[in-house]
Amino acid sequence: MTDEMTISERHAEFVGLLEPERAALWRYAQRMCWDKAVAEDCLQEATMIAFRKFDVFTLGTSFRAWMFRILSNTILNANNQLRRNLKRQVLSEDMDLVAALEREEAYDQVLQDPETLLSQVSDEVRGAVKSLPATERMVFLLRAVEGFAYKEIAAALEIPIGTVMSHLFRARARLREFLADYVATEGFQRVTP
Amino acid sequence: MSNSKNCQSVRAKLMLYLDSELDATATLSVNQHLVRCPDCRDRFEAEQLLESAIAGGLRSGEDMPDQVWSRLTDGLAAEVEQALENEAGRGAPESDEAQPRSATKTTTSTTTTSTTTTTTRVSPSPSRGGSFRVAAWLAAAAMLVVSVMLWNQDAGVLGEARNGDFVNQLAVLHRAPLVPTDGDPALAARALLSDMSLPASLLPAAALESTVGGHAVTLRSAERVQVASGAALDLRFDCCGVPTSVFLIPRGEGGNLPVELQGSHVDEDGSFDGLRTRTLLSGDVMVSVISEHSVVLGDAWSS
Repeated sequence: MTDEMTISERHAEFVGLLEPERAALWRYAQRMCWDKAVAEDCLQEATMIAFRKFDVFTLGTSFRAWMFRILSNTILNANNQLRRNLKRQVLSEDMDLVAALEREEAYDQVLQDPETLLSQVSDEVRGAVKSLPATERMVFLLRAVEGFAYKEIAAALEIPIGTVMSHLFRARARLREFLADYVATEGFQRVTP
Repeated sequence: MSNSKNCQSVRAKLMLYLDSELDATATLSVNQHLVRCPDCRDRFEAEQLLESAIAGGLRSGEDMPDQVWSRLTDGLAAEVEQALENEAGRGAPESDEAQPRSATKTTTSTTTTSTTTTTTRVSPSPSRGGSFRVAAWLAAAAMLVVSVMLWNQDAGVLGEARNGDFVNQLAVLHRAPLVPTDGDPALAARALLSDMSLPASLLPAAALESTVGGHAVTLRSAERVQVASGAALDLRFDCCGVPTSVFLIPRGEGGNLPVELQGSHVDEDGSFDGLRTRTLLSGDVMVSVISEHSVVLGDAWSS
């Protein structure tokens, strides 16, 4: 931002940049907090923090990434448990989940018609996402839902890119495991046109 | 042909590939494998569908309610009002009448509170990296193929990329997988050329003969693809039984390939992950041949 902007101009500029992101920010806050009131509180606080820091934001860089960074920190600050999870080291023994899943017949069924399956279990999948450890959930939401690149996620969450990859890998593995378990226990009837 | 070791290697990279996070060489390697290995291709497509379906379910839902947005902007407006009052108290009036400093601003907008504060919308800045990412997922399935570029109008024949002369990286983004074209692929190719307002000479008769430079060649498929600079045509041949791609890439708007695609180089020793590449200009169209076997097919366009 430039020093010569008046506060009203700065306000206008900020709101103009914020508005295109309102749906994504709301979606992210909700998926992270899973409570609309808490999500709104976090969003409100993050917005005020961002506005107060707007003079250090560099026009031409990504407002979206900057705003998600502030919102992520706000959400983490609202829940210390989430922050502890963020700093936790990734355990390597979990990394074989996908390999194990690949051997499962149920997962093969999942992959046969994922769209139909997901249309039948969308609520359950949301629940599965909700049950992900917070950091895995953050990384997964930023990547799969909001389309952030790994380096953008690393910048937003202030974690190394390798940790981003580990969290993303495990989040995906857990969601796939959930779907395989669902198919194995509940069955899955493909819908033929 | 693929083997289980290759399949394992590719599957280990599949999600990185899906995320467009592999470097150019690894991307090309995976892409080439997927073209040849139907099992891995099916797996990739299924994982892509699954990821898309999961994300789609999470993406759906209500937009931020207007009252939430209003509360956000009200809070901001109150902050601004307080700051203005503070400035006024210090004898430093706010110069609200100042002209907007950016030509991108439009002037109206929403009254945010019961106060007289108004907000002015600013056209959003282009999101960084957005153009490439958006392009990359245009067809919901991005595949990257590395080809050769040196987009020099005067070059005529650009030669072979293996000598390391050329900046090398062209992302070809298209839906996977390539499938054999129903019917006669030559007819399909000509129809696509016509659709793209490209001359029929871009499918030279020499390329449809049974041999080129002593190598047995057969056109297998033709498909319109999306590259970063616009639409292109992907002709898939067998050359002595080895899949060989020929991309016909019209010059994009502005005459150059996008800057995002620049920056990777052919190794000095000429190797590029075992691939041979050859690029020529035919009129205003770049012809790029890619093969693990031979790029002699390019002779059909250079003669």
